[in-house]
Amino acid sequence: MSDEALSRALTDRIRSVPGVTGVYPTRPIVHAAAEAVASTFALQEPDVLVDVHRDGSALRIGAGIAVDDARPAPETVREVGERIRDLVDERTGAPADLVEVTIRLVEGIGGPVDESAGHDAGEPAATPG
Amino acid sequence: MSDIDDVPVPEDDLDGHTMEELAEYLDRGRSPRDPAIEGSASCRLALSNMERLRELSLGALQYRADAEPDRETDWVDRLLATIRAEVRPGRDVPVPHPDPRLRLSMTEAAVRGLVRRTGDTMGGVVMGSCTLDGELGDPGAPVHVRVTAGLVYGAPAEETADRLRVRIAAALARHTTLTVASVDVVFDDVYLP
Repeated sequence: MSDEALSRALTDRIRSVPGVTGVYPTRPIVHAAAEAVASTFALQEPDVLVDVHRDGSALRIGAGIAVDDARPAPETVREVGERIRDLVDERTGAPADLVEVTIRLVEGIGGPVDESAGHDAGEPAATPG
Repeated sequence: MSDIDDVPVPEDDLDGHTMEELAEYLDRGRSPRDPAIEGSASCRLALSNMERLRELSLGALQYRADAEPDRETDWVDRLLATIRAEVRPGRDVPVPHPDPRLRLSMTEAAVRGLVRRTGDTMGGVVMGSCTLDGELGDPGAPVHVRVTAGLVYGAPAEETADRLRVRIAAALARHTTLTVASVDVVFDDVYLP
């Protein structure tokens, strides 16, 4: 499987995870454009957004995501990481050395928030005034 | 700081776009859809914050623009400058996972955006800046959150600050693994509803 095909499959897999609202390349788009080569342009296509980086025999995968606040963000990003790892293991026959997933944005309507959940953390500074 | 162009933010932070472009895009109702803007996490973060600011401040803008045009412009410019500055990804907040091959995190910008939206959707305040003090990269390290906000005229400051603290702490507890030691709220402006 080519890296481009792997990236496309990973992008698709990430989008299927509940709570994911967007997938982004790990590098800023302008940085990628500055290094423009045909293959780089291909990796910027909307369905090829996951970075697949090889250094010798080492394989590193990187992705940025946006998540919906309807689901706790740590749950979402953990599931994304696990799905990437499992798909790479399955498709490449060699385990990924590193899977990096970064939440870039938490989206949603902003509530309702279960305020009791964070009450203790908010208390120390809850000084009137 | 009264001019958003005074803020030294490289265009890279907005993936080559400018705040002015984003403002115009919002004016057009995000239509026709611009894939380059919508495909950028930084742009979407800025749009989300600007959109909310517009909804919240429209009444205040219309009212105060007549009475205090300079002051109003300063206030909005300051908020826009903060939004622009806060799209920088910043530090990474790790999300632990038992598999050492998985390195998961949330950007500081995403955390600040979450805090901002949590406050702006509460009612009674317009969020200003958000600062996270502490070693964000060290799980368990205490983190102190400090926010500034405008308070709607007539709202009880103490009660509103308490609600805001609790709400922010709850959102951070749900969506991050940060150990929030304190949430400080400073009201630095009063606006009309």
